Amino acid sequence: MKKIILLIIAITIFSCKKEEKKHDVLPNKEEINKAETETPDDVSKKQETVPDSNSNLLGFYVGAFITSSYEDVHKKKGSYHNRINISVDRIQNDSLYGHSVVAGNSRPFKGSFDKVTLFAKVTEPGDDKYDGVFEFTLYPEKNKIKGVWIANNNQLAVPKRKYDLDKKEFEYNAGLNLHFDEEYDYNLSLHNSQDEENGEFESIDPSIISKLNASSQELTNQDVENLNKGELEILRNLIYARHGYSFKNRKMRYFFDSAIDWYIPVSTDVRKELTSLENKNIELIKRYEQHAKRYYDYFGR
Amino acid sequence: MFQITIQYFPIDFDVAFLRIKQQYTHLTHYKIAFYIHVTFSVFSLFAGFTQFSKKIRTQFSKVHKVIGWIYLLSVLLFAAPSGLILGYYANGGFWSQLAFCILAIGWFWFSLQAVRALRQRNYTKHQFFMIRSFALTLSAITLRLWKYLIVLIFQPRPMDVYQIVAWLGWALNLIVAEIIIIKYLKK
Repeated sequence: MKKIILLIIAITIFSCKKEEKKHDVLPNKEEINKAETETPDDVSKKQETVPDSNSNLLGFYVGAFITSSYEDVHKKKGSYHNRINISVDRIQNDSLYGHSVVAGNSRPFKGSFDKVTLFAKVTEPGDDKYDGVFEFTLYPEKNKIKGVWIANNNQLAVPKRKYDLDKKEFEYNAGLNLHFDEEYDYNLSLHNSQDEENGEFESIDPSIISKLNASSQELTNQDVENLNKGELEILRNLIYARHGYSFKNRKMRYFFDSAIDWYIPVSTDVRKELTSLENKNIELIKRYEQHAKRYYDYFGR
Repeated sequence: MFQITIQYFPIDFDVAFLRIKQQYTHLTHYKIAFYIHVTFSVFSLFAGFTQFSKKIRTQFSKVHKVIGWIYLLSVLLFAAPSGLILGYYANGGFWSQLAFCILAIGWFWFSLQAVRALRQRNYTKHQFFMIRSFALTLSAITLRLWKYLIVLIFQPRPMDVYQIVAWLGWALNLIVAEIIIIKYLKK
């Protein structure tokens, strides 16, 4: 979606330039004279009226989408925080258009935009259980947006969230991987819940996973046969994370939100983006995952 | 054990254990060896359970003979040679490959010695080698039991546990077999 919009913007800019050039190529003498007599003030006036003066505001704003109140979240099994991507796609006069991607859900929004205060109030369509209203202010000098989101349904586990997001560029890069600092030996854990008291977790060793990359190398049986279930899961889901997949699965979402700083959720379906190498590795890893799930603690091999 | 075998029938090369052996399942000899092994190992395992009963041996010697030959032929002609092929392609690298190959050769050797003892009419020798042979047959059960217990207690990595049980599964059985033989000799 983002790419298409960028492409459209690029085409419009490019075509505008072409038309201007055409005028430049075919001037009559009068126009030349006019141009020569134009003062610098007139030129700067022309630049101000270019419709894309807001383009520096467009882009992905990424960060934590945090509950405003901690009451009831645990009881209703909500998530305290998720990584959100608020994409500002288009600003036209006093309207702002965009979409948000969070927790495996991508929703469009549109609404009013105040050019002076840079405050936007935008609404989601309202046909999804989790739709609501975003209110935020853009801070172009800091490349940030800050604001709140209020759900249409106040009975949700989390009816209000706040956010302070940084502008980020997204680009698929097969080389991105789980970062591991060799001097510091540690294990990471996978949780199904953000509650501390819920003690169930799987431990994974980042030093092993960070040596493998399922997007850039063809994995062998020897590479993956000694990994435990959680490690296989992370190795495979790193592929989706590189493509900007927004995880519905809580265990994966909590892990990528907290442990991977380069991770930006941009899409809820990345299947078409996967390379043939990645598909091959996914198939291999899945075999071992299923085997681990079914047979690891079972009387058998 | 019967259930473990039955999951591979009707013949399907993409189930259970074979799901993580896909790098070998295109090999015809691997596929044949695998199916021979899972089929005839079950014969030998069940045949073995009746053979140590003194009552059957003395009062129903014909039963002992028939089941005994089923056991010996299953092992010598089918289960042990196919086991050697599978051992060569075992998971877990060199050390578990070595463990499974020794297991297969030992199984064959002990069973063969038991047959030879019959030819020599040396029934004590036959008994001793059958105890050893069946100790290795039972590794089918003990290997899986050790795996279950080790995972339950230590939760190691999958191939680490596999390498451990590849040895533990039969070596301890053999030690127990020798203890039984020594005790028998003292009588």
